Amino acid sequence: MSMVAKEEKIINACRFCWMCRHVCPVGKVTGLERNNARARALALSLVTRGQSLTADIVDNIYECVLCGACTKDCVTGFDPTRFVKAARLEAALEGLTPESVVRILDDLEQYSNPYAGTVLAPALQEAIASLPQQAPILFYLGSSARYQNPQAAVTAIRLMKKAGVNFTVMMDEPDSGLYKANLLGSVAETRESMVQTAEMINKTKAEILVAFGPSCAKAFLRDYPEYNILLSPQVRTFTSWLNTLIQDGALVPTNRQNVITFHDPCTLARDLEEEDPAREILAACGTLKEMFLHGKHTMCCGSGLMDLYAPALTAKMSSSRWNSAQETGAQTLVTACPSCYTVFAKTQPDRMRLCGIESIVWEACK
Amino acid sequence: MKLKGFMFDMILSELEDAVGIDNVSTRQIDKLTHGVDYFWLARMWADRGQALPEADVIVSPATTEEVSSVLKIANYYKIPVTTWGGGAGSQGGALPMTGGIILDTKRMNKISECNTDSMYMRAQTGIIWQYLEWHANERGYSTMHYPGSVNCSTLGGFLAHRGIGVLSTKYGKIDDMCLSLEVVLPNGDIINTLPVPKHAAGPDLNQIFIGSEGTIGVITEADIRIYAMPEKRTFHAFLFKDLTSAIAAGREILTKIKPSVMRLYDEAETVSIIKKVIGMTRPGVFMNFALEGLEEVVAIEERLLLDICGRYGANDLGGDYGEKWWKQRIDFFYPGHIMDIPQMFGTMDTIATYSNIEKVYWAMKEAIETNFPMARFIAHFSHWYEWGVMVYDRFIVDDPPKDPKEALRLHNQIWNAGVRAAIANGGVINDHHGVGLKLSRLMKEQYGPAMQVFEGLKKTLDPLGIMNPYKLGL
Ligand SMILES: Cc1cc2nc3c(=O)[nH]c(=O)nc-3n(C[C@H](O)[C@H](O)[C@H](O)COP(=O)(O)OP(=O)(O)OC[C@H]3O[C@@H](n4cnc5c(N)ncnc54)[C@H](O)[C@@H]3O)c2cc1C
Ligand code: SF4
Ligand code: SF4
Repeated sequence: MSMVAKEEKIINACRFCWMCRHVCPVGKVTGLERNNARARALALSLVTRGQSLTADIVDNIYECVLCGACTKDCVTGFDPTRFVKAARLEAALEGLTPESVVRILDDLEQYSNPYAGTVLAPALQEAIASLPQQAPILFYLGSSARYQNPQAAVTAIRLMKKAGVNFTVMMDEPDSGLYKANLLGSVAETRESMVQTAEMINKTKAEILVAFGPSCAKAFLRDYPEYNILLSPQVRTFTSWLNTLIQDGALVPTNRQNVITFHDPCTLARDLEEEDPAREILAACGTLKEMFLHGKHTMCCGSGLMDLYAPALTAKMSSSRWNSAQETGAQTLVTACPSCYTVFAKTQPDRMRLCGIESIVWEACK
Repeated sequence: MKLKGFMFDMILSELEDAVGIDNVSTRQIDKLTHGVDYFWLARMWADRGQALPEADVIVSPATTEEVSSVLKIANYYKIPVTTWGGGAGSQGGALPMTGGIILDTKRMNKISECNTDSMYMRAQTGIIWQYLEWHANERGYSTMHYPGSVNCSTLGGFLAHRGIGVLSTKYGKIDDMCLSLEVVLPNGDIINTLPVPKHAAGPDLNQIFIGSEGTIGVITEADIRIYAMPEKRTFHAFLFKDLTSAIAAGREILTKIKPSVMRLYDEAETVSIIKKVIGMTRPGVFMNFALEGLEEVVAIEERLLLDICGRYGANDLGGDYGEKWWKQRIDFFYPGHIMDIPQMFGTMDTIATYSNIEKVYWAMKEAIETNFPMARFIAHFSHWYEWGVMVYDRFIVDDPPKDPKEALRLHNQIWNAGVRAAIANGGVINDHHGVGLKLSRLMKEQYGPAMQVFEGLKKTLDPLGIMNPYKLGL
């Protein structure tokens, strides 16, 4: 049975159903009929009925940003990301993976991260080196923070130190495996790299793992259990952890002048159903003005991963989010994901400031 | 399109010049996704692996001016243009039956004004309705247009098909909610209807384009009413002895008060609902009401409602069912809840005066059940006026013919029988889903010589017949 055929039940449900089209962030910015769950399912339904998978269909399959908005909206409980991932795997088996994606997979193979990152920025190296080698709390930075947004990682480390947290960061932190899972679906190699990562994490003997990026947190909390991979430390999102530090008085924000709007990362608000901690943090740092479509209704910023192979599409999505941010009248857009930060930085309008949640707290605590 | 040499590419480059190269597509994936709308026949055709209707090119303009340029090009080269909004219409209206251009409106999704003085929003017509509603809600208002397809369909699509939402009894249909329109005529001219919908400056231009299904122009912008959020919304359900007493009660209710929701289910549909409400089946017909507005007014309306229903011998079943229905009113349309392929089904919504509505109902039921014993027939009455009511009657065939052509034939026979029974008894061809391709052939039967008015309009505005061919009987 082909990979796609395994998801035939979902495909058959979605192919004639438009009910979740309004939540698809890609369809929203492109206005294209092909950019929603039903269109992708319709094309794949023809594949399950004997037609060939074509490069044209695969291209559209990669225009799904796997934000899970459709899945969350579906009253019946169907999950289109499953057939999207299945189709990506089938495309790989048939040699139909788009060239732009193959390049990222090659980088993942070679560098264990999709950014071709090899050495850490000196400031980040220094910050990590200043930490104990072993500690009850492991702060997991993720590839995006390590190679794309090291300043955010440095600030987050400083913040944790300021709060007196006894923590460590792995200098040679392994990749969470999430990228491969998203780009290729459920292949043996995906699981293999996750198993290796879990082993390295478990070896640290940390009791708590705080994941800086919500996507990494989602990988540890959702994907690893699905692949039957055991992580010994308890996994916390950075936002829930940071909020605890503030609520417990370990960090005391004093500057509350900011007028802020907040972009909920999709994995945080939808997959992990976490909306409040970031809001409580921001309430301590200023006045929060909610964006049109926030919380679990958040619209994906375009995703750091898609930015690597379809930057124009990502830019459209992040610009649309910036428009919503500007409409709130806030001066600063805060996000709680280093990868979203990188995406937003590329389309930042002149009259707004972009800030990671770690930076806004750092500033407020100065 | 049969064009020789590089002529097709010449036209393509003109279209690209008009709307931008990224907004013109000849990709197979785009043709495929515009080859199936919500029409049962299109879905069945795709399910059975048949060749689908296929556009030659898909064009996505973002502005009225771009729509105008596209129509000028299409007019010059005599290329068919089918406007596609959400593609969630059930009548095949957006299918490119003769190829040519699909003009997808969804990039036209901007709201340009929210006027809380005059209580309307102005928006481009490619906006998905839910976005209009969300924007209104953000400002503390509502559009009060809550169709089952609020997530799927566009402002333009609802206007083009004369759509309706569940609160229509109080707030009206889409044609009551529209103040003014901007339209691009087939020759590319951009026109505006009058700034207000009520006047004595000749016939109503709005109502010529509302319901025109893309056959005489593309509606590009509209002013749509918004309403204050009700202070209170409350529900009441009743079990009536039969349709006759329930319809009589409904008629009397509307001479005194204006509920927002009035939904009366025939005996066949009542069976499943009533079991959920009272835990067992009981003979009768189920009816659910919502009252809304200022608390004080609702209290008076509630008293009158209970009084009238009591006088018609109805059993009061309380408000729980209504509350639950309200929360889940859209859930029904998700797969697993709604009918789907391989079943064959159709919604033959029609409308008639109180004097005729029961005749229409029984005639349609008989036409379907006696001629097509394999079909089930269920109905509810869900949009009410002072003069009459709509019946939302559906047929369902659980095991339709496997051969697609046979299935198509049976489908059309059932529709012919149902709609002809409605028309013969004072009903109309359709209430709110429109005509499209599905019912095109029956338009002349409905209108008789009056059809020449539409034909005259079509001939004058679209002399080359490029706009949405084979639809609306034009
Ligand atoms: C799940 C579901 C539930 C539904 N529930 C309801 C309901 O409760 N009430 C209701 O009324 N309908 C309902 N419908 C039907 C459907 O939503 C309506 O018919 C709607 O009007 C179609 O709009 P669309 O944008 O999807 O149009 P499309 O299907 O894209 O097009 C419909 C017709 O309108 C024309 N058109 C579209 N845009 C324009 C424009 N800007 N200018 C000129 N012509 C245009 C097209 O050419 C076509 O003829 C439902 C459909 C679904 C899928
Ligand atoms: S996920 Fe659910 S709502 Fe979305 S297309 Fe599939 S069945 Fe429909
Ligand atoms: S996962 Fe997100 S991008 Fe993909 S189809 Fe669903 S809503 Fe659209």
